[in-house]
Amino acid sequence: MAGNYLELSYTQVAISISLVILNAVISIFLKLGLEKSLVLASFRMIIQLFFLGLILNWVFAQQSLLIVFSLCLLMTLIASHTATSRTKKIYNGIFIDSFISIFIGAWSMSAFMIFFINKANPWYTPSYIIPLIGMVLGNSFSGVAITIDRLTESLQKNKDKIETFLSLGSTSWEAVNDSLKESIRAGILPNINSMMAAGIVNIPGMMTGQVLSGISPFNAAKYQVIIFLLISSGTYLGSIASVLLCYRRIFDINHQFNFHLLTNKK
Amino acid sequence: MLEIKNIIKKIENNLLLDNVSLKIMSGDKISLSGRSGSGKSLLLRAISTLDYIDSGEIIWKNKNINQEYIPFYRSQVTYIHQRPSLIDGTVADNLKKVFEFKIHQNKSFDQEKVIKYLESVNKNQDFLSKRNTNLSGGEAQIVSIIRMLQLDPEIMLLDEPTSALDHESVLAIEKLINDWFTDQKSYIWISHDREQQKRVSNKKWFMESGKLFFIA
Repeated sequence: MAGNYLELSYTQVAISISLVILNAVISIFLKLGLEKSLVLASFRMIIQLFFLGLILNWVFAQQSLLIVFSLCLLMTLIASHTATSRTKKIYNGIFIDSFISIFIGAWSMSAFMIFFINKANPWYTPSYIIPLIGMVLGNSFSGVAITIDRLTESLQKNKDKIETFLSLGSTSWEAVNDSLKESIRAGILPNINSMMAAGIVNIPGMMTGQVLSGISPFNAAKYQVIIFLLISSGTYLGSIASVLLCYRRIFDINHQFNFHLLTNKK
Repeated sequence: MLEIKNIIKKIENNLLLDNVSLKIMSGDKISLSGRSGSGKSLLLRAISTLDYIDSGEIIWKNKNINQEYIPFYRSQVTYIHQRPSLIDGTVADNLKKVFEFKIHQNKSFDQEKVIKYLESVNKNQDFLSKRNTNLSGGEAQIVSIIRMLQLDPEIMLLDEPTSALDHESVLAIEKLINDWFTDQKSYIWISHDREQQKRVSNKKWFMESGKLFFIA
C-alpha cells in the first residue's frame, strides 16, 4: 500500500511558500497589518517542523526506551507550560496541576492504546508511540487550558454566589458544583464538536496523512476512529483531573473559599 | 450560646483582628459599628468560619467547631452579605435552591411559611414567580433574607444588609428580622446608621483597628 506514497522534493515545498508571500501581499494591499505575523508564523512553523523531523529521524533510529520516555516527558512539560500560559488567572501550583492533568489524560490513553489495542514490538517503538502521545497531548493540553481558564474565571464571576451558598450551609463541593461542571463542559466541547464534524465537514488530519501515504481510506478511518476516541477520553480525563486539582487548592477542608489564592497574570 | 476566644487574623504583619473575644447570648440584638476597614466584616466572616483565621477558638454550644460540623454550624450561625447574591431564575427557584444542600435534605420548601414572610413585607404569592433579573436591590435583599429565614438559623450575622437600600426596603428588612427574632435567637448587625442602631439593638459593640469594644 505504501507504494502510492509520493515523496516531496524541496522544490515542491518551496512552491508552497509562495502562498505565504501571496497572503502577505494581500495583507499589505488591504492594510490588514497581518503580513509580519503571517511571515513570522510560517517561518517558525517551517523551522520547527524540519527540526522536529530531524530529531524524530534520530529518535526513531535509536529505539531507546530512555530516549522515548525523556522525549515524551519533555513534550508533556512543554504542553503543561503552554496550557498554563493560556489562562488569564493563576494560582500557586497551577503548573503542577496542569502537568498532572495532562499526564493523566495523555499518558493513560497512550498506554491503553499500546497495551490493549495495538501492541507494537517493542512496545516503546518510537515511530509509533511518539506520534501517538503527541496527538493525545496536543488535544488534552488544550482541554486542560480551557478548563482551568473557565474555572478560574467562573470562580471570580460567582464569588458572591459561592460564598452565599457556603454561608447557607452548603459544602464547598456543592457551592462550586455548577462552576466545575461548566468548566469541564467547556474543556471537552471543542473535542465533541470535532467528532461531530469528522468526516462530514473535514477529513481529520491523521487520516489525511495516512491516505496521502498510500494507506487505504477505510484502514485509515479505523485508525482515526481509535485516535479520536483516545483524544476525547484523554481530554475528558485531563479536564476532570484539572478541575479536581484546582478545586482542592482553592477550597480547604473547612469549606473555605480561598479566593485570594487566585491572582491575575502580571 | 456562641463564644469566640482570642481570634487573631493578620496579613503579613498587619493585625486585622486583634485578639478578639466575645460572647453572644440568646436574646442578644447587637449592633456593630466602626470605621471602614476597622474589621467589622472580617469579624463576622471569621465568626461564620468563611475566612481563615490565624488563631483563636469558636465555641458553639460548648463545642469547638470542627470541619464536619461547619456546614451545619453555618446554617445555624448565618452570615448575610451586603450584596445579595441570587441564582438565575425565579424567586421560588432561589428559595428552593438551599434544600438541594445535603445539610438541609431533611427539610423542604414550605410555600405557606414563605408567603407569610412575603405578606409581612407587603408582597403576595405572585412575587415568587418574579425573575431575579427583574428584582430591585431591596427586593433581592428581601429574597436573600427569606432564603435564610426558612432555614430558621439561631444567630444571624448581618453585614450591612440595608446599606444601599431605600427607606421602604430598609424597614421591610428590619421587619423580617424582627418577626424572626425570639428570646432564643440573636444577631449581630453591622450598621452605620445611628437611628437604625437604636431601632434594632439592645447591645452596642464598636470596632477600631481590629479591636472590639463593648459599649455599656
